[in-house]
Amino acid sequence: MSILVVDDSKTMRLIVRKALRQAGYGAYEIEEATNGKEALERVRTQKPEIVLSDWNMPEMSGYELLQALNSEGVKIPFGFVTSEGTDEMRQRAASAGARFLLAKPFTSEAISAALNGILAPG
Amino acid sequence: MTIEADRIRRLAEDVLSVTVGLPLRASAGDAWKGKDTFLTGMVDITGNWSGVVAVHCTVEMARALVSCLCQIEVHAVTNDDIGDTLCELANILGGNVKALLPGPCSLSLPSTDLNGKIADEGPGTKVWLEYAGEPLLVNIVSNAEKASFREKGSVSS
Repeated sequence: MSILVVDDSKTMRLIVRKALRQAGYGAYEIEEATNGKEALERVRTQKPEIVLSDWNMPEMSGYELLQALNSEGVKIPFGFVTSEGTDEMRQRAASAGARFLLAKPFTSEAISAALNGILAPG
Repeated sequence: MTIEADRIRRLAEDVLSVTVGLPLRASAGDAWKGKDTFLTGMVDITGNWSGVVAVHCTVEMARALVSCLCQIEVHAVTNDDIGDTLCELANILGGNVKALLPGPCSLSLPSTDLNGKIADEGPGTKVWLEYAGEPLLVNIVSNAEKASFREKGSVSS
């Protein structure tokens, strides 16, 4: 039972990890990837319950990761945790199948609300 | 287009208080006196508005930020930790500034300068904050402001 956190910033991965713990998801194993390419491999081999991904990353962006998962037919809940929360990006994310886009900065309450109905706390 | 300093101040205080959790307060900029090396995290915005969003601070402030964010002792903070944290803060601020701008823009990947200088008289919308006597500056400067500043400098020199 795992959550894959994808962000090129080690600091941000720590922040997301901490917020997940505070939001009641401490029982999940937190896997990490530093870009979309690495995350794609992790999803193929480890099959996490959900992917929480940054948008803007080197090598492969979060949006490209979501597109790659779609083209491979991988059905896995996917949410963006990103510094950009414009309407345009929210629309692009939703059209590509993302379940939510959480803009940074965020609180543990916000991550809890975003995951509500997608992933059971544990 | 110039973004109002008050709006930037509120945004910077919100971002830093939610992300970092340090009680930063507004500063007149006095805490800068006598400090000559600053660390910088920055991100470029290009499109309808083009410019740079930068976060500048002293080593001591950067160590406090990383220590608080990553929950590690101040003495254990590395330069890599500092670079990563300043990049991420610039990235979050940049994303939030971008949301205030009209029209389509894109955000670059963030970068750092760990041996930079700050010029008080430089262009941009500046927000000065401090924590425990250590300064942090958020500066948002458009390419147009930079060009105008350079032009004035060349005329007066």
